[in-house]
Amino acid sequence: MHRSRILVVDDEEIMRSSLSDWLKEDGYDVVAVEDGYKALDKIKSEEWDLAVVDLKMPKMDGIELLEKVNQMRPRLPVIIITAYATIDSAVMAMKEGAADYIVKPFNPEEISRVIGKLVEHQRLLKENILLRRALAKRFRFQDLIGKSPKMLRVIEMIKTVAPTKSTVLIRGESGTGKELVARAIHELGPRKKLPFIAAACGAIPESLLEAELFGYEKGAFTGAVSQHKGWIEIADKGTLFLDEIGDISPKTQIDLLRFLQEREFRRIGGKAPISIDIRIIAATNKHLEDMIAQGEFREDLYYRLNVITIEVPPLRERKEDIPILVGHFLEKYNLDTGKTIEGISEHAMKAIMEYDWPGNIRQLENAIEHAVVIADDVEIQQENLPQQFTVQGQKWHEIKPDVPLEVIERDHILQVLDANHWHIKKAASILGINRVTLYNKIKKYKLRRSKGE
Amino acid sequence: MRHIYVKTIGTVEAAIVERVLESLSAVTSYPLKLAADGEYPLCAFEPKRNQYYAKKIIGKLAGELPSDCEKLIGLTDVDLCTPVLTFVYGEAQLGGSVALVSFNRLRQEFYYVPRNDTLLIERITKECIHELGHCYGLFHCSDSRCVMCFSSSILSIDNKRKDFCIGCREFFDTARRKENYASQ
Repeated sequence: MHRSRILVVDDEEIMRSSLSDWLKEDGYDVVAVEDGYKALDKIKSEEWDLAVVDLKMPKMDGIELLEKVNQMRPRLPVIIITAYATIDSAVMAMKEGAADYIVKPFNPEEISRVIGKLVEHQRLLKENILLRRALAKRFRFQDLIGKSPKMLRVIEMIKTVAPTKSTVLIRGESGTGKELVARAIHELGPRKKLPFIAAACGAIPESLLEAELFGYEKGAFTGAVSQHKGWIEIADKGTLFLDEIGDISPKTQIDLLRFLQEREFRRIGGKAPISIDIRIIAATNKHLEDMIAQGEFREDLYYRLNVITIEVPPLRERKEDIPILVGHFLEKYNLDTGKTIEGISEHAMKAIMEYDWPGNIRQLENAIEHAVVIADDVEIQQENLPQQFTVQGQKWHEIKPDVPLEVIERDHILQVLDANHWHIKKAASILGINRVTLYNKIKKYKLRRSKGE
Repeated sequence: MRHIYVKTIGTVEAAIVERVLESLSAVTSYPLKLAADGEYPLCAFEPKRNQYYAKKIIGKLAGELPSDCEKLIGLTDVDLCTPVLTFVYGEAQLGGSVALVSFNRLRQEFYYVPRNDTLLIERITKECIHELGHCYGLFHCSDSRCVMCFSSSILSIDNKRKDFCIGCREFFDTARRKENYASQ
């Protein structure tokens, strides 16, 4: 069994040896040093479960060492010990985050209880981290996280289609992780060592998309100063992921259809056809069947793409995955920000679980990032979450159950835009959607700045 | 053949020591030898605390070990302490040769309760076995009934048995065998 490691810092040799001997008898692995600088070296280079630090030491006193330890290893509990106890020093030690403050010599019962409690807490903390990692691994498939039946069906489907060459159409709302599904198919397939090219069709103006997809020859148009390989050519032998396929123009739809039928293409301005062996994975958040009915999407292209369909469920339909996702994003943003937030309060989790998540996982990730940055506690509180979970969030619960989702989405987007003075990037980040999607939504709902904005 | 010695330090009731020896032999399953009485541990006295530093007495005993001594248990009636603890019932060299146990806080009279020799011998035996365990390299045990469980109060001493738990017993016997083998 792992023996807990305790670092003793005291300038008096007799105290160091006496405390070390007693802790060793208690089964701890103990190292004793005589000053703060040596202690910092030890803390920097080795793993510890607890530090017992004397308050009065030359060079660096216990409080100064405590401050430095808190910066370096915020999770390491530090007990301040002193033979000269004063209320001021006790208050200061506790304010600086000491785990306890004990007067020398110690009552055996007290010291034994304090150390036992802290070491057990550390053990549970480590166990918790290990279990969380194991759990994340258990419910993680490539970069897809989830244990809900709907998500497990998606994962099963990915496993089935990955080894084949079939074209796959991934459908799902914005922010559900369609690109992650595409990457998982690529990673699990025989082409995993070859390129995976993600083409964001909706984010590129129509005139540029054709050039980006098919490439061009030198002099094909003004500005074509040299030959340029398109995404299709770069993805040769690998996978081409056509994101937001519902947003491409009728002209590009025809070019793409031709390529899918013949598996060869010509660069713009080029004469020789180029044969390419790629796997196509397309994704959309649009209802392509409606678009076909309205003449906005080619039916023949639809059938070419829709060989195998994977529906990625929206987050509101897989709420049982939210706690695992929250844990995953907490760990991710703890690492990014250097914070040590251990969890989320019951109220905050309740608010998260009750919310509808129109922006899906992307919105959830942004909300957790926001909360981690704002939080100053070991636990995320409801007030650390973005605005819609606090003041505006309460309005969500007041909405009558007969209101269509689109009305709620429109109102919410408008509210967020107005609140952020129509700063598109900021509003998109809060909504958990990308800028192109936000522009599309503004166009769709014909949103205008409110009066006074 | 090396022996486990018991040595009194300062004034200690001979009748109690005799009964402790019998009780210890029953637990350890081999006879213990009584060493010559030691002098009063004045060198270890700490006037500010009106107590005696256990480590200082142990240090002195370690310098006077009989040649055929495997381990030595010192028995004293003075109140023991260490620089970091307000008091100790006993102290030992972890993996070393000397253990020390004080009767002082094991007596009922210390807690203003009438004298009870049977209980006192029971407590002394437990503390002697506990400290002897440390001399053979045993750490504190998490089993509250095992003699190696750390006792921070008289109640916790009374709560534990005077023998080892299965795990500690195995460790103790193996350590003893190893030590005997190494000395041959």
